Amino acid sequence: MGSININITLVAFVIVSITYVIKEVWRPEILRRGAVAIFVAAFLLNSILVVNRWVEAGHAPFSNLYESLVFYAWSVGFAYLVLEYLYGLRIVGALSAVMIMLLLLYASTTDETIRPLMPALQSNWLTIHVVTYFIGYGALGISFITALLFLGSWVRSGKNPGETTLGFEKLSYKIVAFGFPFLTLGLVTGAVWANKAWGTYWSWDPKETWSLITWLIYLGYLHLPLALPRMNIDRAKIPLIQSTCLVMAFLAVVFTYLGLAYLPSASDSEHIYGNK
Amino acid sequence: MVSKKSAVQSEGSPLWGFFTSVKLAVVLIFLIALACGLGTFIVQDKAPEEYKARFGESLAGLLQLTQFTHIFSSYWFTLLLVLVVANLACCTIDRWRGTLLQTGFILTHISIILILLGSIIGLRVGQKGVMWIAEGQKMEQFHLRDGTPKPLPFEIHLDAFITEKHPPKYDLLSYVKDQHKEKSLPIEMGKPQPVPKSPYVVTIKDYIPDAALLEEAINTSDEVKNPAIFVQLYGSETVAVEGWLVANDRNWYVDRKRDLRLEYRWVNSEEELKKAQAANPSSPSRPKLIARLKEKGVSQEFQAEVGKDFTWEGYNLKILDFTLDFTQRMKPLKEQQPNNPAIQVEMDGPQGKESRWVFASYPDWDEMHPTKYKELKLLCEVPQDLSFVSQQVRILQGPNDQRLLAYIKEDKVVESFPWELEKKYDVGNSGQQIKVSKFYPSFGVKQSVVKRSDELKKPALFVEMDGPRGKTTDWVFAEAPQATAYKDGNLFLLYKQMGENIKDWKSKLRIVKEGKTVAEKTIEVNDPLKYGGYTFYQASYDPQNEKLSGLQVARDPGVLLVYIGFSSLCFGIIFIFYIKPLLRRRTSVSDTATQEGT
Repeated sequence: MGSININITLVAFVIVSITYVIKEVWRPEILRRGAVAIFVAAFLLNSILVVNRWVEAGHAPFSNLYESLVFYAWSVGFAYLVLEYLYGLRIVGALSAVMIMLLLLYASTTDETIRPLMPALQSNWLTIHVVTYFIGYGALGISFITALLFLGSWVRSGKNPGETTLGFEKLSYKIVAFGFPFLTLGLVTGAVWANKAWGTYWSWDPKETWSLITWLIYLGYLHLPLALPRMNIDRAKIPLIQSTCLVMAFLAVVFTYLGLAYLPSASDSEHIYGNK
Repeated sequence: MVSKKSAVQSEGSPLWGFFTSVKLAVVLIFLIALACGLGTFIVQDKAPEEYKARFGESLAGLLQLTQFTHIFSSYWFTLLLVLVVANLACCTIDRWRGTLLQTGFILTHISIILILLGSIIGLRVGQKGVMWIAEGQKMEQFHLRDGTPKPLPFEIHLDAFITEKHPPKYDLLSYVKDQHKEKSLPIEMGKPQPVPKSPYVVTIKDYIPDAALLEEAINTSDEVKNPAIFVQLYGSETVAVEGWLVANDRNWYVDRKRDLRLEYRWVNSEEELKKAQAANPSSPSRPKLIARLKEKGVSQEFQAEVGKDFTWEGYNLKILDFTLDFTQRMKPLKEQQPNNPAIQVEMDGPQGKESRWVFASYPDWDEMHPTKYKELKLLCEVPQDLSFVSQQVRILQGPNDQRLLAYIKEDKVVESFPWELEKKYDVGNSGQQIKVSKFYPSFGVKQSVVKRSDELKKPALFVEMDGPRGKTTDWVFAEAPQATAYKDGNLFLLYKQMGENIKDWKSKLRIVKEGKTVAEKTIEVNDPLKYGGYTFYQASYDPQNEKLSGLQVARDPGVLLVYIGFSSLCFGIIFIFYIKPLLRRRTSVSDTATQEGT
């Protein structure tokens, strides 16, 4: 049942990606609103996937890699729709759809067996913590796309970046401003939950440490527009530094999410996906 | 962004300027992130030996000197945090305007100071540790992480410890050997499940929640193909031991308690029969010592009898001791089980005497341990049926219905006579009797799977495997010691219990002060008991002892401050990014000269 659904959702996002590309390249009138409508339909399929899993498993579906990837795909979709409504993302939508497609593709290759939750995960904090984090991650994933678009268009336009190029940078900042509060809530609820479960709100576990690192990089990014103009730096380079910082920040997110199993300290950690 | 007032101040004092600058903030943020990153790439807080093994002597020394081996408690990391607090405090004071729009800025910046202060209080006056407490026990202390005991100002009683389990879940796993691929197959009755990227298809045909494998001895033919007898040994009137002896397979039985060895042999001629009943034929069951000189390429076998010695190739080898179980070697041989047989050998050669234990199961033991005579390799072979018993009963049978039973004591035939089915014979004067109650000329085993109950206890699946060599069916038992194989030996099926089976642990705790119960609660994971500044968490359990509960004990007076910090951080950030833009949109029309906070 589950495997049929994820394939349908995957196909839906392939269609969405194609539609968005057509919309951006040929700009047919019918797709001006139609593309978003198709996105919403695909997003609903993704939502069904999450809810269905929740019911089938009998617990919030964030307990293994498969479940979290499907939910992350949903979060990117959610963040995209909110940001589209707030700021009008245009080409970013196409890349968001591709990103969701890749996430679902990855999810479809992982083990989807439902496992019982270990005692520490049986808590309402799990839901609060993961939902806030993933909405944050979803928005930050989109800011990664805008940062990449800035860098790409900056390289293309050479030394005189145009209005569109600089627009991507401004958009990035707005998107981070939307996602960062969720990231903070995720970090704080994680600490509170840890204190409830183990009596320590912070123990420098690799997962905790890397969530802090991610948070710090985004925090640093948010302070950059205040600090950089006072430094001895060519003003034109400031958006470049900021976008580069944002790309690094999202790489830290990905590493926090998926890469920790490769750390030498991973064997000591209690919460890393893929530790068998 | 910076008002004129602060600009004047920063001109007046360079130090103030340094601590109020947002540049310092950005540098500190990225430095701390970098330090944290290093703290995960370099494994933290391990023993010095581990760093030496991992990084080499000199680099390990450098890491320790610079405190990179315990970054999060190092002086320089603490210094970074102190600078953060100073920076935050100065910035907050410097930019203080007291306007509504600044709410978020003030809250977030103060919140970090609060969280860091709270954590310092926790580290200074807080206590964190563990307590292992058994059901029915009471405790008045717990142990800090470093092992120092800490007294509690009350008694804590564990009235009950309950481990709740999920009903076990079983997975059918396929393993394709030439691909090294393991895959979990969905358990659906009757639906053919192709094993991905392989020529195999597995179909589940039947399921029993509590299955048992019955093995029944059968006779498949009247021709003599695999002769076997069913032997019963009587203590007095009742059967003490009984079982099958199969001539071409497991044809012996050693009973150390009764000091008796039984053997069943099929002989093909009259002559062989005569020979076989004779005492001490070839004495197969004695331990052997094998000496080998690798460079010369010579080796020699010796009967390993304690006390004997041999001269060979310039060495004198003396058997000092023999044991069937090295760890039980002080016990009499008869009471030892053949778990870890070993021979102790004394070697005398050009470099003097040296003795060595030679283990049958660990032939390379000596290579891992220093020895004088490295060139001399010693091995020991201990037959599986090694008996060391003084009585033997040899049951012989031939093709023309010849039957002979020989009773042997101390390697001498005491008596021998023809035997018949269903007749009891005395075993010497031991007071025991022996009876051969069945003879199967073609012994075979029929296996059948039966259902014991409807409860989920030991489930089994009846599966059909289809592949290049056609279809086969077989039963796959949960937690079977060996995987079920397809004909070609490339596809294997395993039926395993998966995942954490534990649902929850619950400890029924009671706190007693001056003889009175002052607090009571059944704690579980994520739901602790708080009393008198202490909090007791359900942390772990002992898989070896179901009645032992592992509690985490924490006393952290700083946590309140940390939580206040957390709340103001969250509220402040929400204010900055969600509320302030709304407020500003409203006020910007009327008041364009609004000051910016951050």
